[in-house]
Amino acid sequence: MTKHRVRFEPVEIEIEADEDETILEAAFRQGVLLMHGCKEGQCSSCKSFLLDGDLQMDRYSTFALADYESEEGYVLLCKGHAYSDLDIELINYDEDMIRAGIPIGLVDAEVAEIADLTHDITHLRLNGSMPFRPGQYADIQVPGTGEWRSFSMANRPGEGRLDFIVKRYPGGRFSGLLEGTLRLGDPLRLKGPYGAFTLREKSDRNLLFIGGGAGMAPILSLLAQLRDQRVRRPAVYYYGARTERDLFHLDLMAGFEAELPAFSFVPALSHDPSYAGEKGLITDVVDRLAGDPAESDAYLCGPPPMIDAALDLLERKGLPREHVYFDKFTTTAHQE
Amino acid sequence: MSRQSLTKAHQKITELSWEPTFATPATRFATDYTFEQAPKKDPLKQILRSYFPMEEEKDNRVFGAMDGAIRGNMFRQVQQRWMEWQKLFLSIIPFPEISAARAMPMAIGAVPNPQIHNGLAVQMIDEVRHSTIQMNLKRLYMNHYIDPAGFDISEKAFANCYAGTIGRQFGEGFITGDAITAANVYLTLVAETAFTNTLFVAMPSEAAANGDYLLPTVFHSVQSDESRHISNGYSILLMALADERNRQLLERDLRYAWWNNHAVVDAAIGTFIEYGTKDRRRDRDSYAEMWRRWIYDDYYRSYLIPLEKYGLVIPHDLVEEAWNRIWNKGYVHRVAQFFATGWPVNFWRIDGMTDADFEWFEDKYPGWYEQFGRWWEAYNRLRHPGSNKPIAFEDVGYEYPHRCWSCMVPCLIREDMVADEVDGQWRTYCSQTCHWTDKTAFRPTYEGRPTPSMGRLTGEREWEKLYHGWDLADIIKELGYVRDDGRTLVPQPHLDLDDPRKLWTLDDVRGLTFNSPNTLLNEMTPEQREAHLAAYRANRNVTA
Amino acid sequence: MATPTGRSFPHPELTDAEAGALTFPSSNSRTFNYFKPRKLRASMYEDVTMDVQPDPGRHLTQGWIYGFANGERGYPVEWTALRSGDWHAFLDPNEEWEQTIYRNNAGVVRQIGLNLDNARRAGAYQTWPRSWALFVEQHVGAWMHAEHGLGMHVFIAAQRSAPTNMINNAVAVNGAHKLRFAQDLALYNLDLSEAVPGFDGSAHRGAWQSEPVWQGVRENVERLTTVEDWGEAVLAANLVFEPLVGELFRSHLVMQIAARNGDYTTPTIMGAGEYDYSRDLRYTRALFAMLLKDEKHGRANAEVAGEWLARWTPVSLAAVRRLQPIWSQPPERVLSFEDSLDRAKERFRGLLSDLGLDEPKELER
Repeated sequence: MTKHRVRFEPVEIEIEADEDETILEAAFRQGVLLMHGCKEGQCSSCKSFLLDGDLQMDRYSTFALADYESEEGYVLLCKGHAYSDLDIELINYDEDMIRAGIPIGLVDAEVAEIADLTHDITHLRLNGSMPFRPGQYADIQVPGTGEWRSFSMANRPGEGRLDFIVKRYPGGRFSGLLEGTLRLGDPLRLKGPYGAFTLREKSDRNLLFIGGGAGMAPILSLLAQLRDQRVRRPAVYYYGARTERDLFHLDLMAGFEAELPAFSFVPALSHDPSYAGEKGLITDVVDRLAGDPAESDAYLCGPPPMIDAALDLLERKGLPREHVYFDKFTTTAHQE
Repeated sequence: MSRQSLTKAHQKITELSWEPTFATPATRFATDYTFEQAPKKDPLKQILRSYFPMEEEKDNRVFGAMDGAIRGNMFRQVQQRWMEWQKLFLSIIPFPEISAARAMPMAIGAVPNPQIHNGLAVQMIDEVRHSTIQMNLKRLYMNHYIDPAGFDISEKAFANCYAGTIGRQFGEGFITGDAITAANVYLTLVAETAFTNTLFVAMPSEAAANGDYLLPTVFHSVQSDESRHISNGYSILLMALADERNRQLLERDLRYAWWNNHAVVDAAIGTFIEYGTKDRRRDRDSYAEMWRRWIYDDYYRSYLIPLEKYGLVIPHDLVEEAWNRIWNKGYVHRVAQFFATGWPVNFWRIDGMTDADFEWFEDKYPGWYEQFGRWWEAYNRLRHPGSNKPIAFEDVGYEYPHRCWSCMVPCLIREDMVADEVDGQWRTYCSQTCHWTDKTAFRPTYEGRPTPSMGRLTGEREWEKLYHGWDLADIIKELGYVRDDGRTLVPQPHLDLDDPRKLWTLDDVRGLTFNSPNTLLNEMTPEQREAHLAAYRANRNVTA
Repeated sequence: MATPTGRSFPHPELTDAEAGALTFPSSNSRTFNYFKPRKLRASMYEDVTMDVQPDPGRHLTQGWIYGFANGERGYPVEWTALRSGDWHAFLDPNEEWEQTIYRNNAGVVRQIGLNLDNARRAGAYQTWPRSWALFVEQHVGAWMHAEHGLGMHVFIAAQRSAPTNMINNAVAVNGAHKLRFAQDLALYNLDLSEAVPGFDGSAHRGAWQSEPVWQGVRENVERLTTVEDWGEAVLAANLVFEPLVGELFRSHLVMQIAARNGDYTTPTIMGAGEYDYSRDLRYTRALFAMLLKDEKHGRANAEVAGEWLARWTPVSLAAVRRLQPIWSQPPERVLSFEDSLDRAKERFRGLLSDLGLDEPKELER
C-alpha cells in the first residue's frame, strides 16, 4: 500500500494517508479532528484548499463543491485521496479543537512491565495500541471503578505499546495500585488520546523544555520525535527535582544529547546544596541560564506551581504567550 | 477570489464592528447563559461577495434540474407511496428553516463577539433560501404529481394537523425561550449537527430510489450550506464552555434538546424512510443502521464525546436510550402504525405493506411481524370503505394512545409512559425525560438556580382535546381535508385512485365519535385512573 | 444480460404517477388554496412565502406550543405599537424569495467587481488628489460602519419580530443588503489601501469612533439598535435616517462631487447602496401605506408613526448638522451643505406626504 504524507496548514499537523482511504478517514485514524459534517461529499464542511500535490476525489455533490471552486483548487477531504504527498490548507477549523485527538477511542491493554524509576516514580508499560501524537495523553480507568486518571505517553506512537511515567502518591487511586496490586497481564482500559501538547513543526524557533517530576513523559516522546525526524533546532531541557535520588532516565538524556545535533539536558536540584550540577528552583535556573529565550517555543510539563512560575518567568523574558505550550489537563490531572 | 485575498478580505470585514458608546443594542431575547467577550475567530471565512454568486450558481443548478425533471416526465416513475409522505414532510420543513433564520438575531444578541455575528447573519440568509426553495419544490410536486390533494392545503394543514404540531416544535424550539437554549443548543448543536444527516443524506437517497431525483437536488443544495451552521453552533458552544456557570445549563439543554430531537425527528424521518419506500433490497440500510452510523458513531462518538474534556456533560444515558427505543422498542414502527391508525385525520394517503415489505422488516428488525405484522394485515383488509369503519374504530386489538405532553408524539412505548399531575392537570408523557422536560427543565428555576429566561410549554398541547366528543366527519370537514367534490376525503388508507368506490367520503366516516384520551383521564376518579394507567402500560397492543 | 455480482441498486418502476394520469376528486386542484392571492393566480412569491409562518388567527388551531418566560408566544402582534386589521395583506412589492435575493445581490457583486477591476487596470486612482484620497479614506470609509450596524443590529434583529412571514422576509433581505453593502465598502477600502500610495486603510475606524463630524451619525445608528419595537425600528431607519442622513451622504454629497475630484469609482459603489435602498424603501412604503390606510387602525397608526417621526427626526437632523464640516473638505466642491440638506428634506417631505403623514415640526427647528 502506498502511503503519502499529508500536511495541514496553517495548523502544522502531518498525517500519513493510504491511497485507498479518504484524507478525512486517515486524519481520524491518526487522531486529528477535522471539521466535517456528512462524510458523503454533500455538506462542504470539510472543504479545504489544495496547496500542492496530487489529490483525486470520489463522486461528490457539485453543490458542496462547484466546478469553479474545484478549478481554483478547493477540495473535499471526505472524498479526497492522496496520490502523492500533499499540502492542504484548512479553511474551516477550530484551532483549540483540532489537536484534541479524534476519535477518542476506548482501548483495552494489559500490563507488560512495572519498574521503579525512583523511590516514588514508576515506569508502566502496557501492551496495546492507540494512535496518538507525541506529547498527548490518555485516561486510564482505575480498575473496578468509574474513575479515570490522565497520563502522558512517554514513547513514540506506533510501537504497539504505551509507556507511562507515574508518580506514586500515598493512597493514590491509580498510582497506589502500582505498589503490588497491579500485576503483569492485568487488563486496563484506556480512553484517548487527548491533548494539544504537540510539536509545532513548522516553527524554526529554538526549543525550550521545562519540566519536573513525572512531567518528563510527554517530553520524552517529543524528544524521540525530534530525533527520528532529524530536527536540527537548538533545544534545551531544564528538568527540576529535589535531590539526586529523584533524577532518572539520565542515560536516555545522554543518548539524546549524542543523537540530536543541538540538544542539552540541564537537571537542577532544589534541595541538595552539595550537588555538582545546577542548584535551586528550576525556574530560577532557567532565569539564570536561558539568556534571551524570546525567540523560542517553550513546552512546559510538571506540577502546577512550576507551570505558573514558569509562565511568569517567560512572560517577563518577553516570550510571547502564544509560543508557550502546556496541557492544562495533564498538569493538574497528575495530582491525585 | 484568490485564497490570499480571501484571507485579507475576511480580515478586513472584521473591522466593520465597533464598540458602541452612546447606546448598546436592545436585549430583545434574554438568556441565562453568560459570555465573556473573549476574542473568537469566525471559523468560516464567509464573505458576501463570494457568497451571493456561489449560491446563485447553486440555484441555477437546482432550477436546471427542475426543468429537466419535467421534460423527462419524472413523475411517470415516482412511487406514490413515497410522494404521499412528502405531503407531510414538505408541509413541515419550510417552517423550521424559516425559524432558523428568525433565531439568528437571538444568538447574535446573546453572544457579545462580533466575529461570530458575521457567520450567524449569513446563516439567516441561507435559511430564507432553504425555506422558499423547499416551498417551491412542493409547488412543483403539486403541479406535476398525480394527486395534488394535500399539497394544495399544505401550510394550512401543517398548522391544524396533529402531525404538523409534532413537527412544529422542531421549529418553535429554535425561536422561543432562552436565546441560547433555543438558537444554539436546540437548533445548531443538536438539530443541525446531529439530525440533519438523516434529513439531508438519508431522505434524498431514499427519494432517488423511489424515482424522485428532485428532492435530492434541492436537499443537497440545502445541505451544502450546513457547514456554516455547524461551525456557528460549535463556536458558541466552546465560548459557553469557557464559563463554569454555563455548565449546568448546558447539561440541562443538551438533555432536553437531544431527547426532543430524537423523539420528533426519528418519529418523522424514520417513518418516511422505512414506510415510505418501495426499495426493499436486503442490503439497503435500515433507518436504525443509518442512525447508528450518523448519529451514534459520528455525532455522539466523534463530536460530542471529545467535548467532555472541556466540561460538557453529555447525556450518555439518553443517547443509549434513544438507540434502545429505535432498536429494541420499535419506536419508528410504532409511530408509523400510529400515523396509519389516524389516517382519517391525515392530509396524505398511506399505502399498506405488502409481502415484500413484511419480509424486509422481519429481516432488518427481527421480531417485527410478531408485534406489527397482523396489524398491517388488518390495515389492508380494512382499506376500502363500505363494509367497515376506519381501522381506528374497528376492534383490531389496538388501543388509541395517550399523547406525550412534551414531545407530542403519543406514548407509544406503553410500558415507559409516565403520568403525573402537573400544573393542576393530569398529563401523560412518553418517557421519563419528557416528563422532566415539562416538570423540571422548562421552569423559572432549575436545581435551585433561577432560570428567568427559560421558556414554557404552552398551547393546546393535546390535539385530540380540540375535537373531544366530535363526529369524525365534522372534524375532517373542519380541518379542510376534503377534496374538491365536497365529500371525498383527502386522506385514504391506500393508493387506489382508479375506482371512485374505493375512496372514502365524509358519509363513510359519519357517526363515529372521537374522544380525547387526556380529557377522559382527567375525568376519572383516582382509582379508575390508577387502574387505567396500569392496564395501559401492561397492554402490548398487539393485533391477534 | 449479465449482472455483475454483488452490485445492488434500486429498481425504479414506471408508475405513471404524473398529473392527469387519472381523473378523480381534486385531481386538478393545483394551487395552494389556503390563502387568497392578490391577483387571480398566486405569484411564485406568494406561493413560497404565505403562511409559512403560522398564525393562531388563521390556521394554527393548537396555538403556539412554546412560550417565553413572560408568557409571550410565537410572533406577538404586541411587539409593535402599530395595529393592523390583517397583517397578512402586506406583500413585498419586490417579491423577494431566494431566487431574487441571489440574482440581485450576485448582480451587484459582479457589477462592483468589474468596476473595480477596470479602475485598477486603468490606473484610475493615480489621478486622485491627495485631499480626495483623504476624504475617501476617512468619510467614505466611516460610512461602512453605519451600514453594518443597521444591517446587523437593526434589520436582522427586527426580522424575528413581525407577525407575518412576508414582513419578516422583506426585513431580512433589507438586512442582507446592508451587510453586503457594508462589506462592499470595506473591501473597496482594502483595494484602495493596496492601490493608492499613502492611503490609510485603518483611518475609517478612527473617523467613525471619534472624529467629531461622525459622532452624530454613530449616535443615531447606535440609538436605532436599541429600539425594541420592530415597526419603529423600520420606520426610524428607512423613513427617517435613510432619507435625511443616508441619501444625503451617499447621493447628495459623495455621488455629486466624486467625479469633479477625478473619482469615478466611488459613485459606482455608492450607487449599489442607493439601489439597495430603493428596493428597501419600496417594501417600507408598501407596509406603511397599508397600515396607514387600515380602516380600523389607520388613524391610530398615523398617531404612532407621528410620535416616532417626532422622536427620530431630531436625532437624524442632529447627525446631519454635525456632519456638515465635511462638505468643505473635498478640493472640488459642487454644492453647499444647505443645498444637499434641502434636497434631503425635500425627499423626506415627499415620502411622508405620499404616505399621508404629517411633517414633524422638528424638521424646521
